[in-house]
Amino acid sequence: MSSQPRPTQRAGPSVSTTVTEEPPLLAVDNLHTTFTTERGDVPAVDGVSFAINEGEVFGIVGESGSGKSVTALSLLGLADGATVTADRLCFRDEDLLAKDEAALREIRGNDISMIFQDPMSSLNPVMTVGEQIAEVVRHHGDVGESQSLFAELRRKYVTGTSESSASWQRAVELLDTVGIPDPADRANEYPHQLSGGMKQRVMIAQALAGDPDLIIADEPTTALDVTIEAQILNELLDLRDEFGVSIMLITHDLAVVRETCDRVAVMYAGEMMETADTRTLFEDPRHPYTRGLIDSIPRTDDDREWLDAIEGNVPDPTAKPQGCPFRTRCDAAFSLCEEPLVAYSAEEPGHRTWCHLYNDAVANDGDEVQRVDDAEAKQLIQEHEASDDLVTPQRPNFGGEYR
Amino acid sequence: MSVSDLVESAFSGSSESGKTFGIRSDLLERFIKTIRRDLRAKIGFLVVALFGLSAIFAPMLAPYDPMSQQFPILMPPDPLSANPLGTDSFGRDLLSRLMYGARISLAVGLGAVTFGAVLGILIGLFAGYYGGYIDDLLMRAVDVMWAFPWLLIAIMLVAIFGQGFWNVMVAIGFAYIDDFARLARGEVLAIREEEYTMAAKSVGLEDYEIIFEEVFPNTVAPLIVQFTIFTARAILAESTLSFLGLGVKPTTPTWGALLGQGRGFITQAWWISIIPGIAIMVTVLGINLFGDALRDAFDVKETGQT
Amino acid sequence: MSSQFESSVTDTTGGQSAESGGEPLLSAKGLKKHFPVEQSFLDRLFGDDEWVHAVDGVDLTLAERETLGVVGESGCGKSTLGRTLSRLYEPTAGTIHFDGEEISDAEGDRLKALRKDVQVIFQDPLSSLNPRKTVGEIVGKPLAVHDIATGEAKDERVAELFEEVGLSPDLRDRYPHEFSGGQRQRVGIARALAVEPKLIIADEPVSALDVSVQAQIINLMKRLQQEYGLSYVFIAHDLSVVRHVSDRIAVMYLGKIVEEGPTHDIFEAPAHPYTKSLLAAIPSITGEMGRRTVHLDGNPPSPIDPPSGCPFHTRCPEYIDEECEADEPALQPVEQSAESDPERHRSACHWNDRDEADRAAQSPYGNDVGG
Repeated sequence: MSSQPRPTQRAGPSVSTTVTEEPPLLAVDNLHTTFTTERGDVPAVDGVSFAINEGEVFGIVGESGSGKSVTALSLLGLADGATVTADRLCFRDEDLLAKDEAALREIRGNDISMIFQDPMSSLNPVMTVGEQIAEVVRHHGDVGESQSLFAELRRKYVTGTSESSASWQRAVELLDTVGIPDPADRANEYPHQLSGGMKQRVMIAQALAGDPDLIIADEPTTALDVTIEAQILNELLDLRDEFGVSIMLITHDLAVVRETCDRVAVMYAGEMMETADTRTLFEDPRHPYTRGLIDSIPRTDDDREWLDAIEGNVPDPTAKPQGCPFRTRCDAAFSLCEEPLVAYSAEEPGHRTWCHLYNDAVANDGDEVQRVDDAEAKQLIQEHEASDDLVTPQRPNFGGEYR
Repeated sequence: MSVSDLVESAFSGSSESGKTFGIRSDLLERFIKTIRRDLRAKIGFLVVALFGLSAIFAPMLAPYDPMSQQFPILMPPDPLSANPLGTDSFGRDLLSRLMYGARISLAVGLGAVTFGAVLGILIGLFAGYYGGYIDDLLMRAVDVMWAFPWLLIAIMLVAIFGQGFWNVMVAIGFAYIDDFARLARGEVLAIREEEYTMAAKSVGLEDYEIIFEEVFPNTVAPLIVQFTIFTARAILAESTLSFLGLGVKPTTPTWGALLGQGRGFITQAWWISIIPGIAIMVTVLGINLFGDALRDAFDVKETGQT
Repeated sequence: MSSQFESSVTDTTGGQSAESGGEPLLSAKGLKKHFPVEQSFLDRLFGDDEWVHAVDGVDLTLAERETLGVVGESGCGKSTLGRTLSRLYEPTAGTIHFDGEEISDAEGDRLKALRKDVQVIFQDPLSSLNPRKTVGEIVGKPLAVHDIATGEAKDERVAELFEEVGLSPDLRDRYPHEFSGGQRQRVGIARALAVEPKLIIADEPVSALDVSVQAQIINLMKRLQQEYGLSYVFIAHDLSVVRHVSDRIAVMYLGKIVEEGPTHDIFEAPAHPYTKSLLAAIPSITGEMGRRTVHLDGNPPSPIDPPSGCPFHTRCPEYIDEECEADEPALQPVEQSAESDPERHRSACHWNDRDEADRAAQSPYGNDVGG
């Protein structure tokens, strides 16, 4: 861990230099997703900004209630019953918020597909896996087969998809791509005949059927054993290498992030805590929460008597603390923590930390505050808030909204 | 709402150590809360209270003897007259007959379903909890019951044991055993998989304690819904039996009997059969709404937050 | 802490430690648990039986104040083993001794007494708490069942237990759904602790919890072990967690223990090919970044019809020859390194009788895997 006393470089409008020249595949700026419940508004996602580049594996890591899954659902307009707002929500410079349901459906599957945690409940138990994939192939690809309701019903209930049809062959090919042995035979099996790992591979094959540019994988390996987990993650990485598809990997497991992702965002209680490329995040974690997470994991090479747990619990989303949501559990909390969170950049490009410890007017040794110049600090916070910084979370500034 | 306030004030005074009249006070609180904020629950509560009270206190409340033929026959309903709901073909006051009829109809309805529910739920709980041969044995027996049309069983039972309040009640309730058993068993199968039954076992509870303390309370919600739906059906079933002349006693006024008596006069005096019909409909609806409120009260997740 | 507890602590400190080698607290011999496969009425009538061999001949011992970690892939029978050891399941065959007493056929009062000494902590803290009872009732129940405390004494005891596991006693009237996962697991621990057990069987106690909360619960369990002199059977699939809490580890595959030994030996010098494969698959937040190498393909075979010979031969990256398919290797002492204790480190593999040099030539892991 570096003991850099404080950042020398500040976030500002010039931040765009840290991003590659070509525009990102997916740009999310100040995303807010709010559920209205009986007990009040729940800001499940509260000002999240990130960008995913072509061919990149981007990890979002967080505990339950961190809003990581809701973020993914919001991107695709799948967050049922929520109000989604953002300053920018662009997929290849197309504004997702401006699209209607039909256009979003077109994007889902064709451009962005999703893999869920539980493959059992995501696959239809009464259809063979080949049939399920072939259906997606027909829907998204142009294989010249009738897609009329009658034709689909005939396939589903009477004849099944012909094994000589293009869509079936593509399905078998896809099963082969994701590393299923004897794909031609396996295509005729039902989900319950497959093991958990196999089912997850089928899910990936199905996600690939629409030839997407971005795959959102929501805890794809959480339900699997470690040995199978490694196989599935390697499979995902192979796909990236082979087809250049971008992957947004949502997980609670830092170890998974470490071995698969190029860049990572750490979320807590619906807000961004830290983002960096993976190596930097693990070698020089700056946010106390990131450090806490890393320290709380038992390792195979440590001999600690006690684990360094983060005490306390995730705050109730309806009663989130003002300012930094982590401050109630944070050992390094100090006077500025109730101020609105802004991003502070580190030397490493793209490494940003949403923690006032890194305010220029604060002297700290990395996790404890030595001195605060309150007035200057607050002014800096205001400057950050006012600037057009892409990644500064601001309170809602309604740019667009799903319906 | 004044009624629920009344209920609340009646109960709140005697609350001690989390129990009111032996009922857990948080359960009662949730019930009152549900009735307070939900209009449908309020309507259900009112209807059930109204019909229940008028049935219980019919001898005091009914304006006339339901059997006395003292009025002109076939008088149409007139709210301002001596017979607000009219009279029947024998010159009997329909309002009085309706109120007395509620006693039998509600008692038979509730009694029959309670009979079916107690037996059925017991069978379902044990079959579901133990599984294996016990399950096979109990559920196959239930299947056999299910294979006979309920009316046939009811007619048979009444034919063997004769007419009368208790016999009719059992005859109707018999038909509900299988539904309750199957529903309870299904719920138990799901709950048996939950680790808390295993946890209860590890704490040292006996099987019967686990069944009644851990498993049963978690099956209550769907069973209450089933109960209210079947109460409605049982009232109608009693009507059917009365209609066929197999009811409690031919001369006893029950809603079903009233309906049946009116059928010969439907063109001249519609009210004789329509008014008991409406009474049945309203009661059934009220019981259903009341059941929903009761179900919500049992759902700790609904309003239990502090 | 309560005075009752202090006395029990002083009692057990005089007892034997894990190393003293006296009478073990818990021991099982040839333990088997088979389940009938879901069958129709007629199948059962005609005795057309199929069985899941969930636990298929397990020998193990556990000393007082010791933690035995049980690891394996899902479906290896480790949870069933835990439930059979705690007599939540009826063993199909074999014996279990607890505190010098045969308990595999205990019934009635003896079983109830056993329930007081052996407690279980479950994986899913929500599923293991009855949603219709307040957490205070849940924790108080064992006190009532075993006539430990009633009335006010019970309330006091519940409050103590809440504090002991780091919960505010004010929360006792709430329902389980009002708590977070970590708090629920604390309730589960308080319930287990209520009867002052000697042995706690923890079945994946932290795998459903968030990372930061996992550490809290692990620390809590370790502290309670020290305070009350508890013994744990700690069942988990996460090897890093098991390594952190366990004194000894047993690795299970298809209902059998394929390797067991002191934690250090298992991690630094694993002997069984399956253990090596598992260790190689552990995701790490230290060491080299990037992909894990996986030498273990596919899935375990079905426990309904386990393979002949060595149960692992169908997937083994160090498969030798027909012997693996024909004979089942027995658990026997292995000497993996100078420091390891051959009496305590045992493995069930035919390589034990073969030439180590041949093995190194064939193994994808080389000669020394682990550390």
